[in-house]
Amino acid sequence: MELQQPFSLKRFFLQWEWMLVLIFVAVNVINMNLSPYYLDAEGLRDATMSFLDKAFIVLPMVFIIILGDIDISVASIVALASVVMAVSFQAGVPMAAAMVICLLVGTACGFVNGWLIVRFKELSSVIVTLATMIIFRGIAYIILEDQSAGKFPAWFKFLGWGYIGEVPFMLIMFVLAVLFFSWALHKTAFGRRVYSMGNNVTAARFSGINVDGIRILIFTVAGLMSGVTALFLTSRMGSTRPNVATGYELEVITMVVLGGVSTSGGKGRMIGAVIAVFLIGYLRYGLGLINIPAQILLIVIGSLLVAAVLVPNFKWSPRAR
Amino acid sequence: MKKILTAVAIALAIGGLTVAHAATTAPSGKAKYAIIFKNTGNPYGEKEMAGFKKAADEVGAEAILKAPDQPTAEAQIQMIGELIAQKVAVIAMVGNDPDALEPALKKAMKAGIKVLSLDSGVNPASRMVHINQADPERIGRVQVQAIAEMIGGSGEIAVLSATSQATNQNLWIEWMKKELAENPKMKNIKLVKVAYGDDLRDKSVAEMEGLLKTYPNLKGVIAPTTVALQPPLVSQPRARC
Amino acid sequence: MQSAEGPKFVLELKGIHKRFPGVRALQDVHFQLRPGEIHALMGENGAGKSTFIKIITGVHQPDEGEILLNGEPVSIHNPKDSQHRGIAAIYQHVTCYPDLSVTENIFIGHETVSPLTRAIQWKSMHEEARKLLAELGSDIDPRTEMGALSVAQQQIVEIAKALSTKARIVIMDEPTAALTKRESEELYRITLKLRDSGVSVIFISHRFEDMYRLASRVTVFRDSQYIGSWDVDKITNDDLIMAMVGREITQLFPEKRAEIGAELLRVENLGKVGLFSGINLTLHQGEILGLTGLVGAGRSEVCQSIFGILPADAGTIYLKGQPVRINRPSDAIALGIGYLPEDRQKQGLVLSWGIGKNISLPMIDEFAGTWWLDEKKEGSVVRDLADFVKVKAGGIETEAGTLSGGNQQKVIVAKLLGTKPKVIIIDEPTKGVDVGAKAAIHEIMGELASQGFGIIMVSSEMPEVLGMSDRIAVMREGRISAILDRDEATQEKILEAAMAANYHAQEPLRG
Repeated sequence: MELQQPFSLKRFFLQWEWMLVLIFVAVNVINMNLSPYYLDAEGLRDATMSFLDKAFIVLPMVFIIILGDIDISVASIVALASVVMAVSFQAGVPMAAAMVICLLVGTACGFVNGWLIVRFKELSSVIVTLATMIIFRGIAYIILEDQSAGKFPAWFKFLGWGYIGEVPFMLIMFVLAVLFFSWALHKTAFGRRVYSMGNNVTAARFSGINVDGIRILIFTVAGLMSGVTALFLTSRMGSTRPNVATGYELEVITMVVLGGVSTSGGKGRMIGAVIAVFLIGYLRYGLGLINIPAQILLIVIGSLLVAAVLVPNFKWSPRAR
Repeated sequence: MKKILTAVAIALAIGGLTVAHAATTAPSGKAKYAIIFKNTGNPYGEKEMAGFKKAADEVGAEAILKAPDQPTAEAQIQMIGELIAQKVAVIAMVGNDPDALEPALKKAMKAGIKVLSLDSGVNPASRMVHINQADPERIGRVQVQAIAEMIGGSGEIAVLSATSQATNQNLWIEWMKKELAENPKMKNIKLVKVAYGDDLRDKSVAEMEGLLKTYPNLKGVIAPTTVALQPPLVSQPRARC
Repeated sequence: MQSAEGPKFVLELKGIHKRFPGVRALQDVHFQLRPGEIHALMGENGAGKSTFIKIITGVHQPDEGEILLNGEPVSIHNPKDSQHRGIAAIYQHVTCYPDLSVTENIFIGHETVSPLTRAIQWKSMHEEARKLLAELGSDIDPRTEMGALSVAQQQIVEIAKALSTKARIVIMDEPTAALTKRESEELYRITLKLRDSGVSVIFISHRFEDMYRLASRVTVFRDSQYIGSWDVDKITNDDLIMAMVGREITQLFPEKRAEIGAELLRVENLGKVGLFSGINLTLHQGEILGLTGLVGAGRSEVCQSIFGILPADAGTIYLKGQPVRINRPSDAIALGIGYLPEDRQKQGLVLSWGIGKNISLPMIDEFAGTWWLDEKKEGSVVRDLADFVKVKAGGIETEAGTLSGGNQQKVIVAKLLGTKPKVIIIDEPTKGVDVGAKAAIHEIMGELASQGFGIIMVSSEMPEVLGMSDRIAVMREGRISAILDRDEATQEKILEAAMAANYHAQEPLRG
């Protein structure tokens, strides 16, 4: 491990991830005191399922933000993938095939994002995905025209509501996805390349890294995972509309940034974002249990976000410059 | 008038459910009656929730008033989960989607919670009782008759509704269309478009402006929701100049 | 305005000490600047020159010691303060506003405004700017956008800016590092003009030529300490080098010549629209091929197209006689071509990363185990490479951004060697590198050549080109204008090929 700075207990505990864990514990303790219903295994378990759907997009979004890019079209991809799935199912496509179509639509949208960003280097990813955000959602509206579609077979409900043993199916899938994405980011040559691109894309290119290819791949994966979210969300709702998942992109980006991933690229870890997913999820649930109005919730999350951006920039030890 | 009727109807329904529920009421304190409205910032919804609270107070229950910041079924599903965990006695649902809440509400019923829907209903499998605070047929027909009078019996009209999944509004619009087709007095009136403002002010304004631009001969707009009622006031003067 | 009987020194620093937490940045430093002299300040990177400048310009305050300005003790609180006292600094990386006009850059902060309306008086400012530039013998149009000028022209504007603030002391920090020979000549001329107008100049440079051409006095720092000051014509080159590095450097360039072997790389008719065309080059085992010419002649571009960064759109590249396609850097690396970029910080390193992770980046696939990266193997391989190039640092986890220029260059060399190249392209190997590290890098290059590598070296430094190359290719305006053997090459021949008779000074591209 000598490639890293030598281990130091102080540095280990002064990481943003520990701050998150502390806040997470604090949120839980406060919630327990505020509501007698909070500490209830079943309630907590089911609450988990209501925010896990978007968490699948958090994972590739960590990669995107480490690259120094951003993708604000993910929620529109969810809507389009979901709508296309519902429409093809209603047109007689078997449900299993419709689900595959859902994932393919997501992947294709992600590829389009990646290709545009690489092809038109003068455009930033914010601008490109702002455009595709409008386009993808627009296509969903053209297909379904402000209507809803659904009537899926009963077994499709299992995705969003089912359990394996006592554990929600969604949670199992999420844990598997977290393991895979963490491995890819932290334990592989691919992850090392992603970090190098986020820190200095020119040096990465001069080091023989296929920077365009990696960027396209990551945006494509973000599309695929948006398709996964579309599956779970549609399953939970039982029907879909062109305006589903509105605001998901900001929730996802909030989780990633709160997780300590720097928007200037190159810094941050998967674990932070995953903690942030549960932190926001349980915070929301706890405040919901004591019936706090939705607007106050937004203020609390906004304040946390400001802290997330400020605290890691705060120098812990005086440093000569 | 309608408001009071609604409150009375809810009170009656809750009263009935309370009797049925008496055995399962939490040992400590009052039973909790919850209402979930479509979204915050809807004047009609605020009245409805106020009426709900009044009725709950009368029967000696604690009222929980909830509404998400966006009129989406996703947010309502989350709130239903929170209410199940709080072990409320009753959930009164004003749905943003007739079908999407079914899994969540079924779960609530399984947990012993009495589920009723009002105003904008959910499908029969998702609830025990639906309270229709107004007669959809009369609303639909009267609104068309009123606009016919206002525009002098002929011309193009449009409807600016809430969301495309709003059950009550959709039912009223059905009756409006029937009235237009059946009443011989309406043969010169043409319904050119049903637009949806999603009960959001900005979208309602945008849709209204869209209607005015697309249909320059538009003589009248029926807005069967309080949110959509505001934009015409904003938009029309602009359209005239 | 200055009386004939002025003080002996315009600026004098006595016994300056400056400490930063954990570091002694300056220890007992002395400096004396006479009116109207050009005083060279020399020393290796890290010798304390930058801190010294920052004290004069008010960025840092000394812990101990005295600053005398025109004989009066002063304390300089901040850069603005220093400016008011008539001190101006011009840096290697010009700190300008590229989107503003030359006039705006010159007068930023002290614009001429109408006394009545407070409106900026553009006409008189442009006129004033033209006058200032003309004083320096330059005909740059003051309405040109700053960004459209060459680095050399930007520096002239910076000097004009210094004049406009009525500066009496001008500090020039490595101004010639980014300039071509011809541009440097222009700068010399202007600097001398500045001196003749009574301004005192502190000139920092790694180039001996700068010192000999300009300065009358030279002061040397080493390891944060003041070593001494001499009259330039009274100190020999060798003594000066010894003062700077603290040891004797007998030979600047390695003497040993490698055996030239079989052909490694050949390019035929290589071209890329708008950059270069008809390039023919051959490189053999053990050979160092110098590629020189003016900045902008297309040298770096040719190399970058061989490396796949700017894939060529005409011609063929042969590797050991076989035609190859190189569309991206990974193709080139796989074929055994390595590239050492010119801009270390931008193109070569991830500054926030440790040395080790930087070195392993291009060969990271080699450490991919079945499931995850073998960091142990990675650590030992990169340590060997770092040792081979003699990186001076605490360990391989040391952040690359904290290293000196020379050590950063060594890290990049190690990174390059890790990919096991046969052909090495080096773009300006010793730009901005101090004398000691320069020798080390030259030694490594000689060593590599003798091990059978083929090296293409792009360089603007004439002694380096002449001292290191076996053959020298000179480029002019996107074409090869001459290929000279080591024995026939002279400075004059190279310059002639690089500039040709009808060469126009670099005009602004726009405006």
